[in-house]
Amino acid sequence: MNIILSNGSGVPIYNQIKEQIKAQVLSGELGEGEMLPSLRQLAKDLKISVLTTTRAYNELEAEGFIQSQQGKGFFVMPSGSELIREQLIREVEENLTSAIQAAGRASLSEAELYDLLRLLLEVEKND
Amino acid sequence: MMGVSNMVRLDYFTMKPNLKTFGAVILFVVAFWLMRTSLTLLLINCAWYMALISTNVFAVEEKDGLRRLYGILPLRTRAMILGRYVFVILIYVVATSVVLGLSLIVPGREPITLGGAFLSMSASLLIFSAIVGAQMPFFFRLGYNKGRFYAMIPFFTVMGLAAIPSLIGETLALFSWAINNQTMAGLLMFALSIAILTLSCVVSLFLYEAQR
Amino acid sequence: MINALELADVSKRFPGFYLERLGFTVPQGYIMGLVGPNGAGKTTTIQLILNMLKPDSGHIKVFGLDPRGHEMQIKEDVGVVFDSLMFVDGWTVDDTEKAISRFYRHWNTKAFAGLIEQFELPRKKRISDFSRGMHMKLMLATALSHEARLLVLDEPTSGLDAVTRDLFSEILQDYIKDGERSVLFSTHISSDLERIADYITFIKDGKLFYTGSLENLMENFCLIKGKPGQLTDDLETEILGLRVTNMGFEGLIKTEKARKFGDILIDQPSLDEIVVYASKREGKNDGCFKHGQA
Repeated sequence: MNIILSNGSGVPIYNQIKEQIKAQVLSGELGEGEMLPSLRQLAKDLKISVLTTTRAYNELEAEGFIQSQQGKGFFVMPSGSELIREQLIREVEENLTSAIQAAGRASLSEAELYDLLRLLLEVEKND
Repeated sequence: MMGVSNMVRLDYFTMKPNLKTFGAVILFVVAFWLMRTSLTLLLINCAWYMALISTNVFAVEEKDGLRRLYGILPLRTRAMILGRYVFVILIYVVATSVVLGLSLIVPGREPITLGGAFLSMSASLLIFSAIVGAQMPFFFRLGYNKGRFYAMIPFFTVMGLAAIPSLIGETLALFSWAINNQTMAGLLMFALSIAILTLSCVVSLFLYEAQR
Repeated sequence: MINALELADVSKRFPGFYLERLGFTVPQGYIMGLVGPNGAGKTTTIQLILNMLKPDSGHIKVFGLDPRGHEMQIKEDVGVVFDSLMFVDGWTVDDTEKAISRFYRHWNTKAFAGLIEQFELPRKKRISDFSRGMHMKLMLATALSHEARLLVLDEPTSGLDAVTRDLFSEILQDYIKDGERSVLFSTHISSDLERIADYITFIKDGKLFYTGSLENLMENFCLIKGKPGQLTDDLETEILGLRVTNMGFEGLIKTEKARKFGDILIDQPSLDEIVVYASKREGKNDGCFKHGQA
């Protein structure tokens, strides 16, 4: 598992850890049932406090991405990638909703909105 | 107690870096005396000189801030103080034995009786005990530098008293009695030395603990 | 799991200084930073923990034991590093080991040798010839060589270069890796603590300002900056360490209070900034917590 932290980004460290773990689960880098480094090992490797890694892991566990097994450690949940996908789909929904509302304020018609979407998808494909 | 021997050992290591310097100075001075004086005077000189030298461990302790070390180590205060007394006395014992041994070898000595020798050694011990016994509580309570200053007080008091004309007669009478009852006087002085040192140790402990 | 260190309602009075009702806990397996301006009472606190001073009131527990009753046991279990050398100048590293090791039931010669090697300290040279960084490394080596479960450090890294300070941080993190050993680290170089400390206790003028997780402290305070005109009386009472210039004002404020004053700039302070602003004496607010609330 590779985690790179940024100090100056303004994003709390525990959050950075969470997001990077989630990304790796989604991409398959972290497989189902794979064991994560222990709280203390991770803290030591990243040179951060144990409480920070504890918070990251606890929140990941609460959200259902990983599970702690007494005496053994933390493991990636099989449903991990599913949960992340759901989260991302929700994000798409939210963003689309705000885009629709902004379009309304800008007096964009439905057709113009669809055209815009198609254009942007083309641009994304070509990048 | 294990603590006491550990402390004596620690004090030895504390003085070890200065051993060569000290050894040389002591030897030089002692050699000088050996040439000239009687056994009695030799032992008495040994007493006050060793009293000066052996309390030097307090000076090193103060200079290097060793009290903090004593505070961290598993070392009871009682053991620390008792160990320091043992160390100081040990230095006197060792130095005096060496001097005694040397004086027996050096020729041209006036013969001395066993009784006379015992008397001289006890007198020497008494002088050492009185000086060290009076000073050490001050050192423990105030540290070496401040302590040295205040520790002068008992001496000037005693010297002052001894110099009072009316008391000189008493002092001389005491001397002649001692010389006529050597064994008795020797034993008394020995006992008195132990008493002084014990009292001094208790006072030191009390004063040191009160500081915390 | 027993707490490594517990202080409750600890008070000690000196002429001119009063350490008042101090309380904090170091849970086992974590690093606690002890911060505060000079003279705040950090060193006094450490002396009380080591039974070098007796508290006037309150109680202290080290691994659940009272230092007054279990002094020997506790000193076997606690390793200490002070801010200046507490060994004899004329000693060598070998002399130091010989002088000290006998006091400990569990002196680990191999561990000591390993650390001396890691720190690259010459064994036969007089320590009076060592640099300050080397003094600190020697003290750390002795503190880590008798199976201590609690490491107490009193300003060990002042005056050390960044490389050495980084080495200290790494060693401390390694030390707590097994979850059984704990660290109390008093320092005024807050940046050393910012990454690795789990908990912070902040003492100011002998009183407890904050104790709790570092994260909580950072989230609970923010820097507030604004134009002179925006400084209302209301705002002024909530700000700690207020600094007013021609350009404007800035200070420290509790995050929950800052929400009331909507449109003024709020920023995330570093631990250093929290300590600096909270330590200032002027201003209407001294912010101290009563009886150790977080």
